[in-house]
Amino acid sequence: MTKASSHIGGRKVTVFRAIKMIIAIVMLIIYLFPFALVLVNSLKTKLTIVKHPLQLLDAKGLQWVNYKNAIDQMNFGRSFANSLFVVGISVVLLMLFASMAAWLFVRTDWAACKISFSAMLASMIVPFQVVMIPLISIYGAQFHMLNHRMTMVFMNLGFGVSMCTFMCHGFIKGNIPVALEEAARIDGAGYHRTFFTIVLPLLKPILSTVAILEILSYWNDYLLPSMVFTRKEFYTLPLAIRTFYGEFSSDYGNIMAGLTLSVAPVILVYLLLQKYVIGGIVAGAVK
Amino acid sequence: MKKILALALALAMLLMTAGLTASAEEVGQPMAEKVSITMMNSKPEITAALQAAADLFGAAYNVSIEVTETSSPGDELAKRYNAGDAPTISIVDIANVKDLAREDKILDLGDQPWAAIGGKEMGAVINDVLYGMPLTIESKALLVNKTAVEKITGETFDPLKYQTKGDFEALLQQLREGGMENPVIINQEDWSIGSHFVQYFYGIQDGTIAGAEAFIEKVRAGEESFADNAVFNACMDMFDLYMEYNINKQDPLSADYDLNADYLAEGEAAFWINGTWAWPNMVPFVQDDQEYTIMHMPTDAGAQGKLLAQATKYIVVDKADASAEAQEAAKKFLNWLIYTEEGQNAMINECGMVTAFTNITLPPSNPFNVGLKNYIDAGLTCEAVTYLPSDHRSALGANMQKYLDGSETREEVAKAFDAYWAEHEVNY
Amino acid sequence: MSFRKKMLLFLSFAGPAVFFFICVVIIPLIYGIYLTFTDWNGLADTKNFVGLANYKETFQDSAFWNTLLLTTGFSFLSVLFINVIAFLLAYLLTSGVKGQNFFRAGFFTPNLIGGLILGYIWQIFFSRVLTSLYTSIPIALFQKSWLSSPGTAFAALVVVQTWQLSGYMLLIYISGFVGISEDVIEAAKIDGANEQKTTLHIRLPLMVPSFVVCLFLSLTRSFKVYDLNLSLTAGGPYNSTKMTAMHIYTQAFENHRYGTGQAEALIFFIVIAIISLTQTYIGKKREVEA
Repeated sequence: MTKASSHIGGRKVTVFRAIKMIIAIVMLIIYLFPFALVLVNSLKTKLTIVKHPLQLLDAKGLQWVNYKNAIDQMNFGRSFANSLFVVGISVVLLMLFASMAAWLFVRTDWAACKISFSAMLASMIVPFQVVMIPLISIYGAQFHMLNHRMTMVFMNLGFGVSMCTFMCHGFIKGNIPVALEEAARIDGAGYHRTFFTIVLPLLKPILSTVAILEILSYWNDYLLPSMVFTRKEFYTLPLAIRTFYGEFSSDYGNIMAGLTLSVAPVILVYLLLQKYVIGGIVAGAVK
Repeated sequence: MKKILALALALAMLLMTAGLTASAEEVGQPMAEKVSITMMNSKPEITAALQAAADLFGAAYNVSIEVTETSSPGDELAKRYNAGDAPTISIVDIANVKDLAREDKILDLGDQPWAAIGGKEMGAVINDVLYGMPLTIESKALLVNKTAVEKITGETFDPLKYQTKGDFEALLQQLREGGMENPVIINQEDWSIGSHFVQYFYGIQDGTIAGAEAFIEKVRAGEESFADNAVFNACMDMFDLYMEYNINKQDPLSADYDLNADYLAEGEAAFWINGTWAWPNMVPFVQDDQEYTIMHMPTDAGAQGKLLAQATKYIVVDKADASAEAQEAAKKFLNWLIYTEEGQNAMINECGMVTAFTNITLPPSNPFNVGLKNYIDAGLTCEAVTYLPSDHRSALGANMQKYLDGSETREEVAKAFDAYWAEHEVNY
Repeated sequence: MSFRKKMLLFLSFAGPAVFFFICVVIIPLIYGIYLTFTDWNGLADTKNFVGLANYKETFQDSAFWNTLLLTTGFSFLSVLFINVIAFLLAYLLTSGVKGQNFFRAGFFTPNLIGGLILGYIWQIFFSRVLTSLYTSIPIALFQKSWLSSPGTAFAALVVVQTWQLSGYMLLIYISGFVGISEDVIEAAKIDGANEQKTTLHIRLPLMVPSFVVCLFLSLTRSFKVYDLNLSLTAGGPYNSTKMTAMHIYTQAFENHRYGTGQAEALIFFIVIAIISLTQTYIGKKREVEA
């Protein structure tokens, strides 16, 4: 899958590669630094975090107690299950609905499609503050839908569908040849079969990317869930982590331990999907 | 011997139960059917202790209380009320009580038994209606590392010895010569220097609310200006003195709150311009061999030797979304906190509050609160401000920060205050 | 195709997406616009119609326009740095650096830290790490905390925004690079194009759709910045780094001018719309030409 490897190695190429490698490593250190700070400090006492944020180890030894606190006080199992439920369902449905809509928007020039797509595009610019209070007035005070996990899924879909459709739209337009679909159509496949058997498999790379991006934003989302879930039994991870924030100062060790625990699954998902981002394109390479 | 001990123990138990039932009269009977209510707490440090107290109460009175926390009660309330999901009980600031009372969202608590024992006197009273139960008394004060001072001066530290700027300057000078280069810690946060410190301008005009309001009215009428006001200038003189001895003076606006707590805890500096609420923030850093206390701000004008202290954080009960049963359960919980031994223990020892209620005799639980109690008992407090509009901080908070880093002069600060009051009313 | 069949097709493909979108975004938006014509304070039960008073107030609120100017500058700089860095890194990571999977995972980490803790971590960096560098590298830049004077605090915001969003855009650029068909590259090589030429004439034009997406996303997100603003500088020192979203939030919830806040948010929306749609329109035209 590497492209430069087709080059015949030479001295110039080797130097060039070395430079690239060095740049990559330097940039990586810069990018990793803050997260490394989180990891290192998640095992320290507050005193050491505040006084010596860069010190690697606490004089009192590794503070695994921070992780224990995070698990206990955040009610980690329950919060994790809530996050998983909400994010899992949201992302799966989102990818399905958005890719279907995007495909129709690309392949037709109906007014309804054009209007919908433009509206979605424009909505991505709306600052959340504009819809925040109206949203909860309508779905809270009028329809009493707060404190249900499916309400969160419903809102995630509403807010996420624009960007997802937008990205799929671009991908379908640029990378999926109409000829392929027409061939299927001639073989007698309907719109639905064409989409599900021909188009959807080809969307793997973009859908993996979108999935990663959406999982990230839903998993870390605080503001919207804080309005939908006011009962602790529904708390997602970012809400649960708030236990450690104070009015003037916070339990940094616990927060960092909590953060590390809650993002670990996202890293796993990323590593898993990363293969698809690349693997998908090879498998689906169109001749 | 054992028998006598057992007997004594049994007797003590009996007395205790008797005491409990007697004092629990105000709380009343447990709820007939289980009631679930919610409580919003804007003092995140006490959430765990509060939840434990709520559980204790709930088990005895058939109520389930879920405590959630926020550090910005204003927007949280707006969200919850708009969602039709208002918390049954809310712990909030005075500005929030005003907002909720104006829209008729919260209960009049004037009929509660605790109103008479300090509740109304110290509570959130708006247009003569008691809306908020005072949760705790707090003071904007100088937090002191007593041990660190005494180590250098060689004599017992008595805060009342320092009444004027000159007295205090001499002490700071002595500390500096004794090896503590910069004994004062100034925060950079706007809530601290831009909101709390500036309340001295009003609070110690003559030490009364009436005096403060009269001063503001004069400014509004154009008869007085901050620049010409003796108290304002005396306060700014003190601020200048603090700045001169500020441990963060190299780069005052980069002061770190936690490091500040550590400076005081370890005695690197001796005075922190902050307030009694900071004890939980000190805890991770405090040293067993050091003593801490608080003191008033010395001043050359206005009310001398007085501590700015007032009830902060009030408990209100919702009436917009809460059912009659929920309201009843909520009131019961408040009475339980004030009248039962378990409730008092939760409030004073577990949550670390300084109570406004005269029936509670438990001593305060941390050194800052002990210091505050001394001032209260000696009658040396003056009421801080409850009359400031809610945008006072967002409009003026920045000016003191600019003053601190030298990008604004005293005259400019004074002008900004004059201009603000020209457009705002007291007790908005 | 009959209208009935068209409608069925539309409903079955775009129906769910459009339904959720309308319920969650459009309806509250319309309600929000209605609120700008009232004197509602955010809590009251009554809402009185006040016509255009809130808009009038918006135009007189000089603080709002100042934050808008600041936000525009912030967005411009951020978008520039984000996309240059993300693009170059994506190129680097798809051009056969050893261990690229490892690198990609590493560059992914900025996406993992969000909310208030992000601000705290970077505060440590700007106030403590940089100042401790001063002892070994005594240049003025490291002498004081970046967060204690307006210019450097603004720069700190741009740096963190760039750090975070370039990690995000990197993912999109990578999928763009990987999405370029091998055949096209091979064909170019057979025709005798060297690495540079392939990149300049083949890859770059094929990357235009990715550019359009990334520019749009980074621009809108930079304009809407709120969390970072709140957690890193809280608008300080002395309100000098307060961005528009934060100003609107203060108006609505601290100053109880909900209608005004909402009207400002709407004006803000229109400004972003004009800028980002113009940019997207230009990009799309390029896409067609390519």
